[in-house]
Amino acid sequence: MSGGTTSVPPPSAAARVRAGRGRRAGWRWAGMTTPGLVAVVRARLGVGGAERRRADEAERGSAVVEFLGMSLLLLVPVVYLVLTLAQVQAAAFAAEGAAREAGRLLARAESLEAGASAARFAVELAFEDQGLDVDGAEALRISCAGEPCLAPGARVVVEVSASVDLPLVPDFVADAVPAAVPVTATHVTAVPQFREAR
Amino acid sequence: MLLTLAFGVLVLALVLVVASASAVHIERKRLLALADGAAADAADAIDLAAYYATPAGSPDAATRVPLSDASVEAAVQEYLRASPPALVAEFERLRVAEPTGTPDGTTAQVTLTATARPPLVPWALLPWSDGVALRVTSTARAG
Repeated sequence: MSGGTTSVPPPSAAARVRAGRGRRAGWRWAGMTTPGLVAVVRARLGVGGAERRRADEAERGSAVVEFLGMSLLLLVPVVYLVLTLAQVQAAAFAAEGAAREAGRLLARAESLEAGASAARFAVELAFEDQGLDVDGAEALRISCAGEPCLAPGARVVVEVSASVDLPLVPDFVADAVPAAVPVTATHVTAVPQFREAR
Repeated sequence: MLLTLAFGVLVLALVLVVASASAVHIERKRLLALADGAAADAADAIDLAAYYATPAGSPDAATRVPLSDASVEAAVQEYLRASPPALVAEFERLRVAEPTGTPDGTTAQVTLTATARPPLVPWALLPWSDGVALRVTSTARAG
Protein backbone atom coordinates (compact mmCIF):
# COMPACT_ATOMS: atom_id res chain seq x y z
CA MET A 1 0.00 0.00 0.00
CA SER A 2 2.94 2.35 0.42
CA GLY A 3 4.66 4.30 -2.40
CA GLY A 4 1.64 4.19 -4.72
CA THR A 5 3.13 1.51 -6.88
CA THR A 6 1.22 -1.55 -7.79
CA SER A 7 3.15 -4.65 -7.71
CA VAL A 8 2.64 -6.84 -10.71
CA PRO A 9 2.75 -10.43 -9.72
CA PRO A 10 5.14 -12.44 -11.82
CA PRO A 11 3.36 -14.48 -14.45
CA SER A 12 2.56 -17.88 -13.26
CA ALA A 13 4.14 -20.85 -14.86
CA ALA A 14 0.87 -21.84 -16.48
CA ALA A 15 0.40 -18.41 -18.01
CA ARG A 16 3.91 -18.45 -19.37
CA VAL A 17 3.25 -21.78 -21.00
CA ARG A 18 -0.01 -20.50 -22.52
CA ALA A 19 1.61 -17.38 -23.92
CA GLY A 20 4.47 -19.36 -25.34
CA ARG A 21 2.13 -21.78 -26.99
CA GLY A 22 0.16 -18.91 -28.42
CA ARG A 23 3.25 -17.34 -29.92
CA ARG A 24 4.49 -20.58 -31.27
CA ALA A 25 1.40 -22.24 -32.68
CA GLY A 26 -1.18 -19.46 -32.46
CA TRP A 27 -4.42 -19.09 -34.32
CA ARG A 28 -3.77 -19.01 -38.02
CA TRP A 29 -5.87 -17.47 -40.76
CA ALA A 30 -4.92 -17.13 -44.39
CA GLY A 31 -1.36 -18.03 -43.63
CA MET A 32 -1.04 -15.26 -41.08
CA THR A 33 -0.63 -15.46 -37.40
CA THR A 34 -2.82 -13.43 -35.12
CA PRO A 35 -0.35 -10.57 -34.48
CA GLY A 36 0.30 -10.19 -38.20
CA LEU A 37 -3.41 -10.05 -38.96
CA VAL A 38 -3.99 -7.49 -36.25
CA ALA A 39 -1.25 -5.30 -37.73
CA VAL A 40 -2.77 -5.53 -41.19
CA VAL A 41 -6.23 -4.67 -39.89
CA ARG A 42 -4.88 -1.74 -37.88
CA ALA A 43 -3.05 -0.45 -40.93
CA ARG A 44 -6.17 -0.80 -43.05
CA LEU A 45 -8.34 1.00 -40.54
CA GLY A 46 -5.77 3.72 -40.22
CA VAL A 47 -5.45 3.40 -36.49
CA GLY A 48 -2.03 3.68 -35.04
CA GLY A 49 1.14 4.11 -36.97
CA ALA A 50 3.03 7.36 -36.69
CA GLU A 51 3.58 7.68 -40.44
CA ARG A 52 -0.09 7.19 -41.10
CA ARG A 53 -0.98 9.86 -38.57
CA ARG A 54 1.49 12.29 -40.12
CA ALA A 55 0.00 11.66 -43.59
CA ASP A 56 -3.47 12.31 -42.21
CA GLU A 57 -2.33 15.63 -40.86
CA ALA A 58 -0.81 16.59 -44.19
CA GLU A 59 -4.06 15.82 -46.01
CA ARG A 60 -6.36 17.44 -43.52
CA GLY A 61 -8.64 20.00 -45.26
CA SER A 62 -7.97 18.73 -48.76
CA ALA A 63 -11.41 17.10 -48.92
CA VAL A 64 -13.07 20.47 -48.39
CA VAL A 65 -10.90 22.11 -51.05
CA GLU A 66 -11.63 19.27 -53.45
CA PHE A 67 -15.35 19.54 -52.80
CA LEU A 68 -15.37 23.28 -53.40
CA GLY A 69 -13.18 23.06 -56.49
CA MET A 70 -15.12 20.26 -58.10
CA SER A 71 -18.42 21.90 -57.19
CA LEU A 72 -17.39 25.09 -58.93
CA LEU A 73 -16.24 23.11 -61.93
CA LEU A 74 -19.56 21.25 -62.09
CA LEU A 75 -21.62 24.28 -61.22
CA VAL A 76 -20.45 26.39 -64.15
CA PRO A 77 -22.03 24.18 -66.85
CA VAL A 78 -25.13 23.61 -64.72
CA VAL A 79 -25.63 27.36 -64.26
CA TYR A 80 -25.17 27.85 -68.00
CA LEU A 81 -27.73 25.12 -68.64
CA VAL A 82 -30.17 26.83 -66.29
CA LEU A 83 -29.66 30.19 -68.01
CA THR A 84 -30.17 28.70 -71.47
CA LEU A 85 -33.20 26.65 -70.49
CA ALA A 86 -34.79 29.62 -68.74
CA GLN A 87 -34.27 31.79 -71.80
CA VAL A 88 -35.71 29.21 -74.20
CA GLN A 89 -38.65 28.39 -71.96
CA ALA A 90 -39.44 32.08 -71.49
CA ALA A 91 -39.43 32.53 -75.25
CA ALA A 92 -41.66 29.49 -75.68
CA PHE A 93 -44.13 30.89 -73.15
CA ALA A 94 -44.04 34.27 -74.86
CA ALA A 95 -44.52 32.80 -78.35
CA GLU A 96 -47.45 30.68 -77.19
CA GLY A 97 -49.19 33.62 -75.54
CA ALA A 98 -48.38 35.94 -78.42
CA ALA A 99 -49.86 33.62 -81.07
CA ARG A 100 -53.02 33.18 -79.06
CA GLU A 101 -53.54 36.88 -78.36
CA ALA A 102 -52.68 37.86 -81.92
CA GLY A 103 -55.28 35.38 -83.20
CA ARG A 104 -57.97 36.73 -80.92
CA LEU A 105 -57.21 40.33 -81.83
CA LEU A 106 -57.34 39.50 -85.53
CA ALA A 107 -60.64 37.66 -85.24
CA ARG A 108 -62.43 40.67 -83.79
CA ALA A 109 -60.58 43.44 -85.60
CA GLU A 110 -62.41 46.08 -87.61
CA SER A 111 -60.05 45.75 -90.54
CA LEU A 112 -57.08 43.60 -91.44
CA GLU A 113 -54.64 46.49 -91.05
CA ALA A 114 -55.94 47.45 -87.64
CA GLY A 115 -55.96 43.83 -86.54
CA ALA A 116 -52.45 43.22 -87.81
CA SER A 117 -51.01 46.26 -86.08
CA ALA A 118 -52.75 45.33 -82.81
CA ALA A 119 -51.46 41.78 -83.18
CA ARG A 120 -47.92 43.02 -83.75
CA PHE A 121 -48.17 45.11 -80.62
CA ALA A 122 -49.50 42.10 -78.70
CA VAL A 123 -46.54 40.02 -79.86
CA GLU A 124 -44.06 42.66 -78.74
CA LEU A 125 -45.84 42.95 -75.41
CA ALA A 126 -45.86 39.20 -74.83
CA PHE A 127 -42.13 38.94 -75.44
CA GLU A 128 -41.43 42.06 -73.38
CA ASP A 129 -43.22 40.41 -70.47
CA GLN A 130 -40.61 37.67 -70.58
CA GLY A 131 -37.74 40.11 -70.86
CA LEU A 132 -37.10 39.53 -74.55
CA ASP A 133 -36.84 42.17 -77.23
CA VAL A 134 -38.57 41.08 -80.43
CA ASP A 135 -39.74 43.04 -83.44
CA GLY A 136 -43.45 42.33 -83.86
CA ALA A 137 -43.50 42.79 -87.65
CA GLU A 138 -40.65 40.34 -88.01
CA ALA A 139 -41.96 37.71 -85.62
CA LEU A 140 -45.59 37.67 -86.69
CA ARG A 141 -46.82 36.01 -89.85
CA ILE A 142 -50.46 36.05 -90.80
CA SER A 143 -51.66 33.77 -93.56
CA CYS A 144 -55.18 33.90 -94.89
CA ALA A 145 -57.01 31.12 -96.66
CA GLY A 146 -58.98 33.39 -98.94
CA GLU A 147 -59.75 36.92 -100.02
CA PRO A 148 -60.83 39.00 -98.15
CA CYS A 149 -58.78 37.78 -95.26
CA LEU A 150 -61.32 38.39 -92.52
CA ALA A 151 -64.30 36.93 -94.37
CA PRO A 152 -67.04 35.51 -92.13
CA GLY A 153 -66.18 32.00 -91.07
CA ALA A 154 -62.69 32.20 -92.56
CA ARG A 155 -59.70 30.70 -90.79
CA VAL A 156 -56.61 32.77 -90.26
CA VAL A 157 -53.34 31.09 -89.34
CA VAL A 158 -51.12 33.14 -87.06
CA GLU A 159 -47.51 32.13 -86.74
CA VAL A 160 -45.10 33.64 -84.25
CA SER A 161 -41.44 32.79 -84.60
CA ALA A 162 -38.47 34.21 -82.77
CA SER A 163 -34.93 33.10 -82.16
CA VAL A 164 -33.35 33.13 -78.76
CA ASP A 165 -29.64 33.92 -78.56
CA LEU A 166 -27.66 31.63 -76.30
CA PRO A 167 -26.54 33.58 -73.26
CA LEU A 168 -22.95 34.78 -72.86
CA VAL A 169 -21.86 33.86 -76.37
CA PRO A 170 -19.49 36.51 -77.75
CA ASP A 171 -20.31 38.08 -81.09
CA PHE A 172 -17.46 36.59 -83.07
CA VAL A 173 -18.50 33.09 -82.02
CA ALA A 174 -22.16 33.82 -82.78
CA ASP A 175 -21.16 34.98 -86.26
CA ALA A 176 -19.26 31.80 -86.99
CA VAL A 177 -21.62 29.17 -85.62
CA PRO A 178 -25.39 29.31 -85.13
CA ALA A 179 -25.85 30.31 -81.50
CA ALA A 180 -29.61 30.81 -81.44
CA VAL A 181 -32.55 28.57 -80.68
CA PRO A 182 -35.64 29.07 -82.87
CA VAL A 183 -38.98 29.19 -81.09
CA THR A 184 -42.30 29.06 -82.93
CA ALA A 185 -45.98 28.93 -82.07
CA THR A 186 -48.98 28.58 -84.33
CA HIS A 187 -52.58 29.43 -83.68
CA VAL A 188 -55.61 29.09 -85.88
CA THR A 189 -58.33 31.60 -85.36
CA ALA A 190 -61.78 31.52 -86.86
CA VAL A 191 -63.45 34.75 -87.88
CA PRO A 192 -67.00 34.90 -86.50
CA GLN A 193 -69.59 33.68 -88.95
CA PHE A 194 -72.16 36.39 -88.41
CA ARG A 195 -70.37 39.56 -89.37
CA GLU A 196 -69.54 41.53 -92.46
CA ALA A 197 -66.51 40.80 -94.58
CA ARG A 198 -63.71 43.28 -93.88
CA MET B 1 -15.17 13.18 -54.66
CA LEU B 2 -18.21 11.04 -54.15
CA LEU B 3 -19.92 13.88 -52.33
CA THR B 4 -19.21 16.24 -55.22
CA LEU B 5 -20.51 13.83 -57.81
CA ALA B 6 -23.65 13.14 -55.82
CA PHE B 7 -24.18 16.87 -55.43
CA GLY B 8 -23.70 17.44 -59.15
CA VAL B 9 -26.09 14.69 -60.11
CA LEU B 10 -28.70 16.01 -57.68
CA VAL B 11 -28.47 19.55 -59.04
CA LEU B 12 -28.64 18.35 -62.63
CA ALA B 13 -31.64 16.14 -61.89
CA LEU B 14 -33.40 19.04 -60.20
CA VAL B 15 -32.78 21.34 -63.17
CA LEU B 16 -33.99 18.77 -65.68
CA VAL B 17 -37.11 17.94 -63.70
CA VAL B 18 -38.08 21.60 -63.35
CA ALA B 19 -37.43 22.24 -67.05
CA SER B 20 -39.48 19.19 -68.02
CA ALA B 21 -42.34 20.23 -65.79
CA SER B 22 -42.47 23.66 -67.40
CA ALA B 23 -42.27 22.07 -70.85
CA VAL B 24 -45.32 19.98 -70.00
CA HIS B 25 -47.01 23.15 -68.77
CA ILE B 26 -46.27 24.89 -72.08
CA GLU B 27 -47.74 21.93 -73.92
CA ARG B 28 -50.87 22.16 -71.82
CA LYS B 29 -51.16 25.88 -72.57
CA ARG B 30 -50.89 25.14 -76.27
CA LEU B 31 -53.60 22.52 -76.00
CA LEU B 32 -55.77 25.03 -74.15
CA ALA B 33 -55.16 27.59 -76.91
CA LEU B 34 -56.24 24.99 -79.47
CA ALA B 35 -59.38 24.22 -77.46
CA ASP B 36 -60.07 27.97 -77.17
CA GLY B 37 -59.83 28.38 -80.91
CA ALA B 38 -62.09 25.39 -81.49
CA ALA B 39 -64.64 26.66 -78.97
CA ALA B 40 -64.62 30.15 -80.45
CA ASP B 41 -65.24 28.62 -83.85
CA ALA B 42 -67.95 26.31 -82.54
CA ALA B 43 -69.76 29.14 -80.75
CA ASP B 44 -71.35 30.24 -83.99
CA ALA B 45 -71.97 26.78 -85.41
CA ILE B 46 -75.64 27.46 -85.65
CA ASP B 47 -78.07 24.61 -85.51
CA LEU B 48 -80.58 25.63 -88.18
CA ALA B 49 -83.36 23.36 -86.97
CA ALA B 50 -83.21 24.94 -83.51
CA TYR B 51 -82.96 28.43 -85.04
CA TYR B 52 -86.09 28.03 -87.10
CA ALA B 53 -87.89 26.41 -84.21
CA THR B 54 -87.47 29.56 -82.11
CA PRO B 55 -90.76 31.47 -82.10
CA ALA B 56 -90.43 34.71 -84.04
CA GLY B 57 -91.81 36.84 -81.25
CA SER B 58 -89.58 35.56 -78.44
CA PRO B 59 -87.17 38.19 -77.02
CA ASP B 60 -83.92 36.38 -77.72
CA ALA B 61 -84.76 35.24 -81.23
CA ALA B 62 -82.77 38.04 -82.86
CA THR B 63 -79.53 37.72 -80.92
CA ARG B 64 -79.36 34.11 -79.91
CA VAL B 65 -77.32 31.60 -81.89
CA PRO B 66 -78.84 28.26 -80.97
CA LEU B 67 -76.31 25.42 -80.81
CA SER B 68 -76.70 21.71 -80.48
CA ASP B 69 -74.27 19.02 -79.38
CA ALA B 70 -74.06 17.77 -82.94
CA SER B 71 -73.33 21.18 -84.46
CA VAL B 72 -70.59 21.90 -81.89
CA GLU B 73 -69.03 18.48 -82.37
CA ALA B 74 -69.04 18.91 -86.15
CA ALA B 75 -67.51 22.38 -85.88
CA VAL B 76 -64.72 21.11 -83.60
CA GLN B 77 -63.89 18.24 -85.95
CA GLU B 78 -63.88 20.63 -88.89
CA TYR B 79 -61.63 23.05 -86.99
CA LEU B 80 -59.13 20.33 -86.13
CA ARG B 81 -59.19 19.03 -89.70
CA ALA B 82 -58.61 22.48 -91.20
CA SER B 83 -55.80 23.37 -88.78
CA PRO B 84 -52.28 23.22 -90.18
CA PRO B 85 -50.93 19.67 -89.79
CA ALA B 86 -47.98 20.90 -87.74
CA LEU B 87 -50.29 22.35 -85.12
CA VAL B 88 -52.34 19.20 -84.63
CA ALA B 89 -49.46 16.75 -85.04
CA GLU B 90 -47.67 18.45 -82.16
CA PHE B 91 -49.96 16.65 -79.74
CA GLU B 92 -49.74 12.97 -79.13
CA ARG B 93 -53.06 11.14 -79.07
CA LEU B 94 -55.12 14.28 -79.53
CA ARG B 95 -58.77 13.50 -78.98
CA VAL B 96 -62.06 15.29 -78.52
CA ALA B 97 -63.43 14.10 -75.21
CA GLU B 98 -66.53 14.52 -73.12
CA PRO B 99 -67.97 16.99 -72.32
CA THR B 100 -68.06 18.49 -75.78
CA GLY B 101 -71.25 20.09 -76.90
CA THR B 102 -73.47 22.69 -75.44
CA PRO B 103 -74.75 22.63 -71.88
CA ASP B 104 -77.37 25.38 -72.31
CA GLY B 105 -77.97 25.72 -76.04
CA THR B 106 -75.93 28.89 -76.49
CA THR B 107 -72.51 28.08 -75.07
CA ALA B 108 -70.03 25.89 -76.91
CA GLN B 109 -67.99 23.66 -74.66
CA VAL B 110 -64.95 21.86 -76.03
CA THR B 111 -62.80 19.33 -74.20
CA LEU B 112 -59.56 18.07 -75.69
CA THR B 113 -57.23 15.44 -74.29
CA ALA B 114 -53.67 14.68 -75.29
CA THR B 115 -50.59 13.01 -73.90
CA ALA B 116 -47.47 14.99 -73.05
CA ARG B 117 -44.01 13.58 -72.65
CA PRO B 118 -41.33 15.55 -70.85
CA PRO B 119 -38.67 16.21 -73.49
CA LEU B 120 -35.61 16.19 -71.26
CA VAL B 121 -36.03 13.24 -68.92
CA PRO B 122 -38.12 10.64 -70.71
CA TRP B 123 -36.61 7.90 -68.57
CA ALA B 124 -37.94 9.54 -65.43
CA LEU B 125 -41.39 8.66 -66.66
CA LEU B 126 -40.72 4.95 -67.13
CA PRO B 127 -43.05 4.05 -64.25
CA TRP B 128 -45.80 6.00 -65.99
CA SER B 129 -45.01 5.03 -69.53
CA ASP B 130 -48.26 6.41 -70.94
CA GLY B 131 -46.96 9.96 -70.39
CA VAL B 132 -48.78 12.78 -68.70
CA ALA B 133 -52.45 13.02 -69.60
CA LEU B 134 -53.52 16.55 -70.48
CA ARG B 135 -57.17 17.52 -70.41
CA VAL B 136 -58.49 20.98 -71.09
CA THR B 137 -62.00 22.37 -71.34
CA SER B 138 -62.82 25.65 -72.97
CA THR B 139 -66.12 27.42 -73.39
CA ALA B 140 -67.17 30.18 -75.75
CA ARG B 141 -70.35 32.00 -76.53
CA ALA B 142 -71.37 33.94 -79.59
CA GLY B 143 -71.92 37.55 -78.59
